[in-house]
Amino acid sequence: MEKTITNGKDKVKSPSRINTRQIGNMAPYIGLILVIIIFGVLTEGRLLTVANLKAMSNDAVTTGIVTIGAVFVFGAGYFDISLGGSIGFAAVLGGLAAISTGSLLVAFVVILVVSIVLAVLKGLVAAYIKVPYFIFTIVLASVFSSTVLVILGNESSIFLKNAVKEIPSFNFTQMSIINTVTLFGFFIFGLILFNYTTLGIKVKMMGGNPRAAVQSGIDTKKTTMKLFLVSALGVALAAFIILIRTRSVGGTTAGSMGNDVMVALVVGGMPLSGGPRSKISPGIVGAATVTILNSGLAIMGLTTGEIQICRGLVFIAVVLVSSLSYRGKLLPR
Amino acid sequence: MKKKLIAMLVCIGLVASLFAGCKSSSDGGQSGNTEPTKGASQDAAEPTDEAQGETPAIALDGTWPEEHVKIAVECFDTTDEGFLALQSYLDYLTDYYNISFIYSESIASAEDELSFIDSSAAAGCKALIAYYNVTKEEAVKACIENGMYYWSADAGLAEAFKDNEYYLGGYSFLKAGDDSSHNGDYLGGYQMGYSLANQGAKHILYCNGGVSLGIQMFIDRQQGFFDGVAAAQAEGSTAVFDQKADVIGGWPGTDAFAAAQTAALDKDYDAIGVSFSAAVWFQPIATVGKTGQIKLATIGGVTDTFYDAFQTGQMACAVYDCEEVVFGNSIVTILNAVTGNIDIARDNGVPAAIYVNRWTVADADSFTAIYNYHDEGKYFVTAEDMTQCFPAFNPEASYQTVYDLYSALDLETALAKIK
Amino acid sequence: MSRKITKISKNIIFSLAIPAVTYVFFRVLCEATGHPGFGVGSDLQTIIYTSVYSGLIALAMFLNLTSGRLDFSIGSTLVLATILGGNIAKELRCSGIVFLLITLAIGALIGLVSGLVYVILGLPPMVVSLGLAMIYEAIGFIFNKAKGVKLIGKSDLLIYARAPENIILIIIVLAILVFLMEYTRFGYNRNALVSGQKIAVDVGINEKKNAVLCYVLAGAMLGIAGCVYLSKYGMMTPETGLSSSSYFMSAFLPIFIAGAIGRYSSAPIAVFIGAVTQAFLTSGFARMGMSNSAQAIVNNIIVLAFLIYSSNSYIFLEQRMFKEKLEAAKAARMKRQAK
Repeated sequence: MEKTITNGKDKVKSPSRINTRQIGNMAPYIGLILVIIIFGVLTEGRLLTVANLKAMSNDAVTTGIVTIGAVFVFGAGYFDISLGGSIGFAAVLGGLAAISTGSLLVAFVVILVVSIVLAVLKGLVAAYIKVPYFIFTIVLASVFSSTVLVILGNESSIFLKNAVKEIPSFNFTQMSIINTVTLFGFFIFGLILFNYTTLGIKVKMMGGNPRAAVQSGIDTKKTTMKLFLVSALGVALAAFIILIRTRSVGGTTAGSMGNDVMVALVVGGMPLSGGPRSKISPGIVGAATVTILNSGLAIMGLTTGEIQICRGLVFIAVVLVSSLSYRGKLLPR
Repeated sequence: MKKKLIAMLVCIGLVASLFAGCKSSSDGGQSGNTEPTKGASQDAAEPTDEAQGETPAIALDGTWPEEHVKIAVECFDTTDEGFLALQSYLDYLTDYYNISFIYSESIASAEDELSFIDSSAAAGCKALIAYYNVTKEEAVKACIENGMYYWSADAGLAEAFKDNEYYLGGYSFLKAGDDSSHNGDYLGGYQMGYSLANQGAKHILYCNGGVSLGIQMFIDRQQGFFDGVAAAQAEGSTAVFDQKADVIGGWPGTDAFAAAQTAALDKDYDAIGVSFSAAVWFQPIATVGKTGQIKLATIGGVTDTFYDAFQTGQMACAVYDCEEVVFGNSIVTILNAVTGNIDIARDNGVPAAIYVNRWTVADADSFTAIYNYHDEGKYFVTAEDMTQCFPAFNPEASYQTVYDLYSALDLETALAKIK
Repeated sequence: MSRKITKISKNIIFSLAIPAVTYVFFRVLCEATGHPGFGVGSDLQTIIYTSVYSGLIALAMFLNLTSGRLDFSIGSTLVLATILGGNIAKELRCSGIVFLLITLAIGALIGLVSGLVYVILGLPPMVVSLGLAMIYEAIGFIFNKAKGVKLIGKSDLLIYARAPENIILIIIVLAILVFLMEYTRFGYNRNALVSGQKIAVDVGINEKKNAVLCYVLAGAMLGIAGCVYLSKYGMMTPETGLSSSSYFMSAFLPIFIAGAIGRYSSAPIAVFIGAVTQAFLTSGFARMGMSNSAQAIVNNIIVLAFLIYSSNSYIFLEQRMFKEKLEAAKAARMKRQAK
């Protein structure tokens, strides 16, 4: 409940400001429900069949996991758009490991190690080198995808079916269970880390006011490294799941993840510049909204042009409502 | 805040349960955005066995098959002319048959492909036309798990899935007895290379497009091109072609491609094989004043883009996959499978491999004739032609009927049809 | 007077140092590795075309990026303006100049829409531009049923891919931009906003108007770039799936080179010099037969190097200042002790 501070005169916060902020905070949830209702109706219920829910879990899980990890990085003010490139890079090396050893465990270890190495690299640059971070990550993403193509050489994709030993595959239902368990497991991990440890508070401070963060005793360099390691865990899980689901890796793997994560964060109500309004919920809410939107549009059988216009308009609309809670005098940058 | 969250969750639960009760599979009364335009009611016009001649009188007005059939079509590039031409043909068919189509967006990655298959299944699609395939077997498995038929022309897949009822096979550029290790892209590249080298080219250049991006179809086309030129050279062609020095890559629009293209035009090439649209070469050739001195070959369509180039002689050949011949037989195979006539869709239990001809259009007259024919809204395989392949219209229909209909349509036969 | 001449000469030398070194480097390297012909003849024509085309995109990006606005819709604006402008010019059967003006105007109009959406909605520019990119791509796709624009063979329209027309074009564009950014209120206000947003707004600068004008100007640049592209290839097809968002990749290196030599020349000219350098790089790599992936990696490493340098070059300045101050303080102490 809002406390009103009185100093002799009755000063009450104007109702409209309370409503705007509350609406802004609820906007991602409202957006999610609206998307479910509207597309549920437009697709005549096909959106929410058990089969499609399972299918959407496949799409939501990778975006969701990476987004949960990205909250830590974006929250501290580091704009990392190279997540797709990192996933592709890790997945390729993991795939090669899987094919040469026939073991998914080896593949997972390789993916994890590669993700951590990339995270350390990005963390070191973020912590120690002064550079506009978003441009750095945009260029880094391009370096990753080019390197993947060089590694793949003349092959467009590598396939797990060519492994030295047969690698088990998972059917639709098994995949859905793996997806759901991993997503919610990582979400709970992220939730605890963000809301119940000091890491979350540090993230918000670093994103909100880096100088104040330093002055209040936060070791920003150490914290930055920790954040990128959390994000690396998300990258590793996503890369592994993509590998076992599609059983192939190519130059285009996770190509659009950078944009998808940004869209999920924004639609989930998190400011891209981070700060005190960062929260962990966009990982689930944003990813779910985007997945349901994409699924609904695909089921409706619209043309490419119509789908893109819908997507663009819904995106702007949801972001607009979410941002009602933090409008300032200056134009955002 | 907690209360609001609980309220929200309850809302979601209510809404979900509302829709979970809805039908989960497509029903006959589909009122999507592809209503048959000429049809009366959606309810079946039962084939009336009136004793009025041999064939049952089913009207070709969008009421057959009785149960509406939704078909998904997966593509790599929604702006590709070949794909757009196919879309026009498929949309033409929706006026005559009770079918509709869901087209994918431009599929780039494996995840997008599997996601599209899942969405199509949720939308009630009964089959997938794989105009493109990234994940190879996983895509087929995904269709099978979703209970969708899979149609494509990948010989490698046929081997793995030949016993599965949902794998339909597709077309083939090879007749029985031919080497089956090569796919359509390879053969297209082969025809391009062979044709250029055979038409008297002295120094050939190959523009390989997406090879450096790791896109399989371009890799296959390049290999086919190399082998085609080699084959022509073995038969006596004096064309000069070095597989390293006479190949440029890059994607049009990038600075790297502009640089490579200009460097190439500086040399003495008189023939260029282009694995994607040759149209990006016309203007640069004109700018350096070499129009008429360089011939182009491409895998492409009979469309506006090449119309002028053929008239002026700039195009040496276009390897054309006529959409109604090469891809149109998918509709026959799919509809037979869906209406319980899978034996017509199979060659004695083996998935379909309908031999179709690729048309190597190498002169302006042929090009113009085909172009005008399509421009007038006519097709080489009309909806009426197709009816002979369906038992509901023709009780004598068999796999051989389908095979004969499509395999007969080579370039000469098609041109004869026009006259 | 002589000091001024010295200063101007110094500025010119330092501004042109990077492209000159790059040119010489590649000339020598190409000759040495048996790939002659770099930077002369038709290769020079390509370099000029690439410089102009990439330079215009870099200028469009520069106008917003330096104000902290990363614009994902650059590619989709260019494609849409070109498709619309090209088709209109085809219908009107007009001259090359009119074609340029039409496409420029359409580009400016699209930029105006982008700018207005940004200032009215007040959302982060990255977010707005992402949404708008989807919509612009869709419009370009739906218009003309995905056929895009085809002007092959219309040589009276397609005059901007060859010298001297494209050189004249870029000189005029640069002259107008230099004038706008250094001698008009718009330019002063823009610089003020770049340096200190809050102070500038508090002092009374209309930030929204300035932002919209930046977007309009950027849109115009992209329209012109589209004309140059069409003049080269004669056709353009629409993009979908946010594939147009990679257009800005070619804009980074020129902008960061401009950041490095910003002390020595006016910003638009510095950006163009950066574009020329990038064109040398691309042509040089193409001559040497480097694969596209390898080119991309090397290019990006160079971009990163310039990025790190331009973000941290003030450290060298600080160190020099510190050193000078230390020397002065030591000298003063010596003097005091000597007394």
